[in-house]
Amino acid sequence: MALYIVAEECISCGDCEPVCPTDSIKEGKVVFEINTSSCNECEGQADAPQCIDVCPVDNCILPLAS
Amino acid sequence: MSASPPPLSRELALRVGLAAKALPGLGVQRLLRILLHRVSEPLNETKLAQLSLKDLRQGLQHLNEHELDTLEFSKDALLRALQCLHGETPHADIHEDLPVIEPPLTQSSGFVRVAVASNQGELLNGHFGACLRFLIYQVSSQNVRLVAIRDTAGYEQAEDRNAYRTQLIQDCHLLYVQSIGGPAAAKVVRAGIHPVKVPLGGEARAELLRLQQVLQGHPPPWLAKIMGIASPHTSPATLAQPA
Repeated sequence: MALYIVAEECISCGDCEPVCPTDSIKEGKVVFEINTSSCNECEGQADAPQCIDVCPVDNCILPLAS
Repeated sequence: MSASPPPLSRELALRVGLAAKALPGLGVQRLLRILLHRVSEPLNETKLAQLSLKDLRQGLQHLNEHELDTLEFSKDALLRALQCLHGETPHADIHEDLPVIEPPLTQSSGFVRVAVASNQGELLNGHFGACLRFLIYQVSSQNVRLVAIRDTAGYEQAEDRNAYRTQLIQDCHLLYVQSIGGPAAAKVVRAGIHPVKVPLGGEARAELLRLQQVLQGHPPPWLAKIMGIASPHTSPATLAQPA
């Protein structure tokens, strides 16, 4: 139950970082990264994942296949 | 306006048209309002010849007080417009220093296509919604080629100016502008074009040289993907690991 950022799509705009309610998004060495152990896909915090809402690129943030 | 103003002579209309073209985004109608704010109707050549830079500035200020969007022009642009109004510019001059188009790169990948909003020469000095033209460049790690110049004339007829301009450059990957509005930027991003704002403007090629240096080094994955080169960081699994 977590999301990940597709590295080839991320344009490093940083829009997702401040909206994450669990503070799981940080700028990594190459692009932004989601901490999979703290990301809960905004369960209980919002109707939809906030980062996907603000991300300007389609299919850049996807659910991690379990 | 209730009474329609008397028609302008051909020469005057041409002068006003050229002057409006020197002030991108203003348009003939608003320029006429500026002029008529400073001089009484009917316009004639003597009145136009007496116009000063101060007249244009004050007229513009007056206009801005009554409009929602604020227009600002450089002194150079205002002076060019004034020259046109004075009838000093030879008419051919408005198509001044259009840069020379170079043959495109022969390879099919390994470059990015960049649109640059420009009003003059090879300068990056345009506002997305108001620039006179887009310069289209191919930028690879070795070359920078100016492959096309796309005039933005005709947007007045378009229903949505920003959509029209976005469609003009939809084959490009990157867009360099001196300024761009929020909704327009959203449209550009929607079309899959990455906007880059350079608030100070300057020589287009100087900015593209910086892009080229990025391409020569380690381009970010999304740029590497556009160029069709493998990026060392492609596996989502490695990036999804908690840090």
